[in-house]
Amino acid sequence: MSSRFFGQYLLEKGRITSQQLSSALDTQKAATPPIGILALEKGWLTAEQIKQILDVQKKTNYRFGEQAVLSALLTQTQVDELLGAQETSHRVLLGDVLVSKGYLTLAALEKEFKEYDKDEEKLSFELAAAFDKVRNRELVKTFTDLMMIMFTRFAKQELKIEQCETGKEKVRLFRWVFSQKIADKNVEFNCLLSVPPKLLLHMASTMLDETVSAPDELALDASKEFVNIANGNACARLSENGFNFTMEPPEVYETTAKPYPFNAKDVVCVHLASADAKLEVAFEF
Amino acid sequence: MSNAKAVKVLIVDDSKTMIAMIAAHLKDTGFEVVATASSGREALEKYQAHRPQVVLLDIVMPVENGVETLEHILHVDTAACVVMVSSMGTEAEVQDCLKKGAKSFLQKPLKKDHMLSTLNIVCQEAGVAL
Repeated sequence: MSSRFFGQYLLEKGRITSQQLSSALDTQKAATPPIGILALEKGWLTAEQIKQILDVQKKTNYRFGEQAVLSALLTQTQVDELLGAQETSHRVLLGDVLVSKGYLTLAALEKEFKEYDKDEEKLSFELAAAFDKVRNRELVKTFTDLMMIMFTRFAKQELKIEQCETGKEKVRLFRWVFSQKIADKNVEFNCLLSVPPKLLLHMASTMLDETVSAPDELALDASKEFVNIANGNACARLSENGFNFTMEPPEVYETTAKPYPFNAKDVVCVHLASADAKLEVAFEF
Repeated sequence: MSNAKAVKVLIVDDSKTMIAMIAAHLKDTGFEVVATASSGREALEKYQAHRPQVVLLDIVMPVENGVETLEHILHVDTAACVVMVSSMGTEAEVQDCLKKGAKSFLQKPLKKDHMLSTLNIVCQEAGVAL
């Protein structure tokens, strides 16, 4: 069992079909999550209370948050927090679309949010245990975290850790592999990021602040800089714990043209996923 | 078109993307990019040819890294106003660069406002008219 996004979770449980998920993800790209679903996710409102607010709101013309405060079902502080979270929550967006398309009822969504949270809590313990087992745990965790932060904050691409494993046979290599040599006096390793074409274009588009549609020289240069920034930020973070790393510029490999030349015995890999793509961070020690 | 009043800047980075990004941040700001370089050797040539008032210098570069390039630039002009740019920003690295003569340090990803305020401070301290 591994951690996964809410949509994939619903799919695996048979609550929705792959066509429904695909249709919902397409719609979701342009959607903004309503305050009510956000409050449902947090357990601040029940499905019944949301219906109650919506019914009153039709007559009063107040906004949902305003009506919830007037009905004493939410505080203003809670509404402010929900407004702040409105732009970020992937599963809320998806839940909203699934309900509006009639694939799930609001009550079913409430139940699935709760069960998903329980599953994720259990998985987070399993993941922590998996990280504890790997060699150079602190490095693996920090470089993975900073790569995820780069995707989440800079590229606006939410990621989850699916699993952490050891052995080069476990590494999932996608079309593009970025490899950067990093070393200090006690440890030397290659930090790898492997992504499918669509994520490479997303990384390049983020760096260049324009839509990139082909993996040309500039797109690869931009993606390399994306990797360089994430890894450099990890080095900076680790310098607080006594590491003093130097890095070489990253290199890029197209695995469809030539397999990636693994040259180390110890390989640790971290499987990552966005809502609609897989990617990999790996470490060759 | 050259702006006589603008502060002349040399950008040094092996990434074309970073050069483009920094140049975009400096557009219409009182700073003018007079030259760019993608290696340490090219940086030194461009520095001598253009005598920029400020150099934005990347650290992680192939062959000759930014710290070595800093030393070479300061060797030809002890008054050179060099701001290091790096994704790393480790304490040891920052201290090393400042000790060697860099005026300031910027960490990637660069934020436009922070970059401009740093450049303004560096220029004021170096007596470069803005």
